[in-house]
Amino acid sequence: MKRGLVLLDPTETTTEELKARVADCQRLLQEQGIDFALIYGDVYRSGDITYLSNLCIYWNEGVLLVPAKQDPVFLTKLSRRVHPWMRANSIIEDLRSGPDLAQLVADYVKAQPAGVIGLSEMNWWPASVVEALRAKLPGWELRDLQSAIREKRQVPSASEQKLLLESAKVSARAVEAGLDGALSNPARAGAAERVARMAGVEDVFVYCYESGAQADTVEVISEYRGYWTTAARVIASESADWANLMDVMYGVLVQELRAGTDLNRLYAQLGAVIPEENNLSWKVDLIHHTDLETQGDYRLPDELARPIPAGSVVGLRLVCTFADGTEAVMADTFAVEEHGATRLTGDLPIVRYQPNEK
Amino acid sequence: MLKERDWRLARIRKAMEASEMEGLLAYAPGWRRENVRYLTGARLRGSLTVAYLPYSGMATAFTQNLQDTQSITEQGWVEDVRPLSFPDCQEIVHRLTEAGPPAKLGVAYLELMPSLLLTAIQQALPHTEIVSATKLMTKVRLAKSDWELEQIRRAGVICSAGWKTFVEALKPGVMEYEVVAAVEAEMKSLGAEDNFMLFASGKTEVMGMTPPGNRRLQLGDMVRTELTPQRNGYWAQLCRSAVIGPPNEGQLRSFELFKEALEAGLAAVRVGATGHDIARAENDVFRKYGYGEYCTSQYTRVRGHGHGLYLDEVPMIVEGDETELEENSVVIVHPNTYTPLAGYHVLGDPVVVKGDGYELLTSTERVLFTAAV
Repeated sequence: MKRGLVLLDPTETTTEELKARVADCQRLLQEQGIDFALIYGDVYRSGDITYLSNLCIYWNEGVLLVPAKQDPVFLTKLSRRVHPWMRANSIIEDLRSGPDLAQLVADYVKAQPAGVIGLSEMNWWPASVVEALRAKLPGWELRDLQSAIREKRQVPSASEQKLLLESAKVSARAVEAGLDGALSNPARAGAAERVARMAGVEDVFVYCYESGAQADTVEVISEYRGYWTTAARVIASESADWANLMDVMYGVLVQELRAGTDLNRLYAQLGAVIPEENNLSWKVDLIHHTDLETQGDYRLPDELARPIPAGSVVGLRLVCTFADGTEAVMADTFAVEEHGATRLTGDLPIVRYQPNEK
Repeated sequence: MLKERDWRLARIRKAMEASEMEGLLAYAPGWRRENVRYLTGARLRGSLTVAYLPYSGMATAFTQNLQDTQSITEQGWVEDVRPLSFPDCQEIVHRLTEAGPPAKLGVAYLELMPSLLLTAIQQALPHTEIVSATKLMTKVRLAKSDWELEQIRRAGVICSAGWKTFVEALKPGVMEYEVVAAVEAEMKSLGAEDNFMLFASGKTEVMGMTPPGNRRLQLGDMVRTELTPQRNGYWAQLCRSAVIGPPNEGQLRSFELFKEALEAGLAAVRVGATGHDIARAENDVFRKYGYGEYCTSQYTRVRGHGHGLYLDEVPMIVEGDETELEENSVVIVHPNTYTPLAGYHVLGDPVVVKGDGYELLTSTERVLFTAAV
């Protein structure tokens, strides 16, 4: 949950940059003849809203309303009591609270003649809110903006690259803190959480879990100033031969990362190194930094098939599934370039248990 | 554990029968997983999970996440675990129609269900009446089993440990988020799956709590928090305030006011009492001392809430809420609000409702804590 440090630091992200993102969105609206955009978010999934405003939805739900020509407005179920805090940490001045998001939208547009409203990723909106908008805004056309804003975020600006690098360093340090063979999995989670939160993350998922009978995985997904990165490694017994194989496979995947790489190409590389006698199941995933907050779960099949563009930042995740259904995971975050990729999470090792530890 | 599952299913099916529902579909987005967890008993990681319970027959779970598949299978409450694929949602559609579509389908969190999933279901079940089952499930989950209460008691133990760490971390010069880091680390190491926590530091200017910032704590600050660890699915909350160094007169008076209000609220807790009854008992204390305006929506109106597989459930402890407390329901009573005495003040304890009273779930003293300087 979002209970870490929330900041708007102009030395990291300038107000001008945030306003330029809004202006970019407004240009898109004007080109398409849309009166305003609505971006839905909740405490679990709010990256597009944070990108345009630096708002943190630390609880409940909200909608960012971006008019084609005026300043954006945040409509939320959060109490008015937190408006001063939200203003202090975002570029949004106009905040409106109420229990019914559609009613808040209707109240905003009541004086305007009917036109077109663009809903970002309309298919993922709660159907009840879309229905309520239709009922409360007769005559208005609701148009799907699809994932235009999320896709725009995939190739970060120079200032975003710095924040992603910092986020990646935090993810890596948190994993490193958890890679201690002498600790239990809850103790590893505590150690990783302490490192990430002391470094100032806004949110962090720490997963420490058994990976078959011979290993454990430490997996971290951190949000630093709105930017998500991931890292994961295993702690394995010396007898876990698959760990060596996993390390080799992961190295092959890393070598293949460059602009234009897609999942099919990675699976082809994986297939070339999987031994014939293999009773393990292997899965690979490439998740844009914009999708790490939801672990890539909101991507549709056509997105999964797309090659990664130069300049994007992605999480590479190799999963080994054992017969008992548990998994071992290796993951890192990479900046993808034309002819290769830079690992932002540094060099994390696979750790081996001492003989008496596992 | 199958006894626990069967107890739950019997409660759900009784409610389904009363509402003439032939099927119940529980939808879990990443931030509201409680109903699917109630049905599966499993810890979930995926962003989107669904479970289906027909009035007769076995339940089915749907997930995109392999770890969730393993978790649900290992728990053993739901044997039929299927993938969940978007945008066609074909596995759910197939399950809903394979034994003949239900005449009436209840959907828990219909209010949050994404358009593409609801549209796929509506198109596949054109003659099915689809209604919200969110309140139905909330009512079903209100009274806890002995096993559920044991999990909440364990979360209560983590609450108390977390508060101890919180007070130990309070020092002049420490930044707000560093205190949270210490508490999170302690709670996670004790087995907490998650924690909801709000924070505020300062003096009378503090009007409410938010996530922490980088403000450095100062001598004389009152530092407020609500800690809410989740253990094995179940949440428990504790609200306390501490002063760095000796408290001033306003802070002491504020604490006495809030303690009296909390104890008045707790004295009203019993089976059959409503959220309104408890809130009124708390608010009457504020009104008695001339602070009634600080119990209105202009400040903070909610005087507590339920606990369980979600941290903020019914009943709402607020004037006007007529939900009756049941035996073994769990609530936190917290008269948290702003007053001019010391700014925003928080004080609250979670309890299990028992007959004509309650069982306290935490061992933390009910005092105005002082952090050593």
